[in-house]
This record gives sequence, structure tokens and C-alpha cells, in this order.
Amino acid sequence: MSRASSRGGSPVPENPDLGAAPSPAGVSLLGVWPDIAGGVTPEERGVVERALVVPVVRVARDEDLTAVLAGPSVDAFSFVVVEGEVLKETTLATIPALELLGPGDILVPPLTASQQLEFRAVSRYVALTDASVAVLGARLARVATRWPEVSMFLHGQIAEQRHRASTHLAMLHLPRAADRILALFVDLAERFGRVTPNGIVIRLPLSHQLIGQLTGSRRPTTTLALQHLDDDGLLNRLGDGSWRLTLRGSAG
Amino acid sequence: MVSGDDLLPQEQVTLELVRQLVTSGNLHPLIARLRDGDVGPESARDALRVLAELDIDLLVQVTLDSLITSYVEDPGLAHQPRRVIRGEGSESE
Repeated sequence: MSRASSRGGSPVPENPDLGAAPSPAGVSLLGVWPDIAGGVTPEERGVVERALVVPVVRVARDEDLTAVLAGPSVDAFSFVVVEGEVLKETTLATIPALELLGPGDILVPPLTASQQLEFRAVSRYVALTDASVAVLGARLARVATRWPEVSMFLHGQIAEQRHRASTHLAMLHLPRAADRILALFVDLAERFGRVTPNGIVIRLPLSHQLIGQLTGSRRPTTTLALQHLDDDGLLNRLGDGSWRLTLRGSAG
Repeated sequence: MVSGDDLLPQEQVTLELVRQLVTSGNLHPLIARLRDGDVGPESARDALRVLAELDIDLLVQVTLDSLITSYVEDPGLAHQPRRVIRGEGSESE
């Protein structure tokens, strides 16, 4: 018995009314989230895969995404990073705090003017590298309604991202700057690292200032803590600007 | 133009002062800096802020040691806060 017949007996149409087709610059969400249609029956999988093609927007390094996220689609309820890395900058009392987001991570649309009045902190997204962002709009909402497996997957992604934010918050409570930086890079190594014989290489253009904003430290503190980690053989910067984490350093 | 890595001259002064604090394990470099004209207090303040971010336990330790050395008749008491802060022993020892 197909899933369609179990939901009231109506067969699955080849072209369900899922809204307007994506623009030519569309991207399949299967490329971002290979498991998004994992729970869908084989009979329906083809339809779902076609329905998961969504519009994509490209942004350049250092570009503020505020206008981009507000512009591409009036029915966009969310966005997802397809390629590259994006910083979420949240400013409270003039102090900015950063969160690093990569492929598969969800971005929320900018707050409206009235919503901003309700929050003391204001967030914006800035591209750390050249990046592309897929638009999640009404079309995907209809797919998620029709196939709850897709909805459940999206909830799982949000929960995972939320847990990572909680972990980041816990990291900020570590009293020593070097420990905060080490915890940050262990997380970055798991998400963006490439294992080499000499350690895990993280190819992200992270300056001391950015690392400081990711770990709640001033730039001089960050510089000093990075020197300590380098001296201990735990973390060092390579000639091309990438970072190498070596957890079997002299402290181990 | 200052990049995300380049330190300003004042930040470099602060960094060097913090290095001296960490190396010496006492407040003598800071006290010497305080005696250095008009910028001394501000420079010392920056160094203390950086040390607090860098290693708050070390800041507590060197401050307690300095207070005990200066104001307590039995300087041997300095061993107690040092031991507790560093986690090298229990209070019952």
C-alpha cells in the first residue's frame, strides 16, 4: 500500500499543486540535506525530489545579507546556507557576538521594525566567504505539509542547530580564553575540518578579531591566548591563513 | 588600515604588560606601570581586563598573593589561596 492511499485513498499526482516552479537559478535541497526525503516512500520520492528544488541567492564575501534575505521572495519563511560560511552577528549594548553558520544551517529573515522593538539585541548576517543561500518559501511549506517526514527533518535540523548554539553558549562560560578558543576550534574542526597527517586543517578566514568575537574576548586577549596555544603545539596558523588543530600537542 | 589581526600600538603595550604579569606571577610589572606618568593607570586597567579574560584564576592568584604579601603579617598564608585556586590540593590538607 502506498503512502498516498493510506492518507485517504487519493493517488499522488505527478505534478501536485506545490506552487510556482523555482527560478532557473534553483538548487535541490537534497544537495544540502541528503536525508530530507529519507522517510518518503519510494513511490513518492520522485515527486518530492522535484518539489525540493528551490531558488538560490548568491552573496559575496563581507556582504551584509539583510537586504538579500528581505528581498528575494515575499513568501520566504526561512533560508538555508548551501555553500560557504555566514556569520550571524548579534549586538547587545554595542557589543557584537558572533555565531558561525555553514552549509545546512538555517537563517531566519530579518526582524521587522516592530519586532526589533521587542528585543534588546539585534542580529544580522554577514558572508564570511562567498556563499549561496537557498530560499525556503511557500512551496517548501506545502511540501512539508503534504509529507510530514520533510517537516520532521526540518525540525530536526533546527534542533541540532539550536543545540550547537547552546554548546557555544556553554563554551563562553569557560574562564580561560585559551580554553574557549580551543573549544571553538574543536567544534569548527568537526564541522569544517579536513584531516591531515599533521592535524585537522580548518580553511576559514578567521582573524584574531573574529575569533575574539566568537569567544567573548578582546583582540589582545585573543592574540595572547593564540600564542599560548601555538606554543603548546595545539593550534597554529598556516601560511595560507587557514588554521591547524593538533590535539596531541605538548599539553597532551 | 588595521586588519583583524594587527594590534594598535596601545594594544601592543597592553599585551606586553600582560605577558610580564603572566611570566612574573606577581603584580610588580603592573605597579611599575602605574608609576609611569599619565597613561599608567589606563594602561594598567587595560592589562587587568585582558588578564581577566585570559585567565581569571591567575588574576585572582597574583592579586591575593600581592595583598597577603603587603598587608598580612604571615606571608605563608599565600600558600593557601594559591593551592585552592590552582586545584593542587584540598582545604583539608
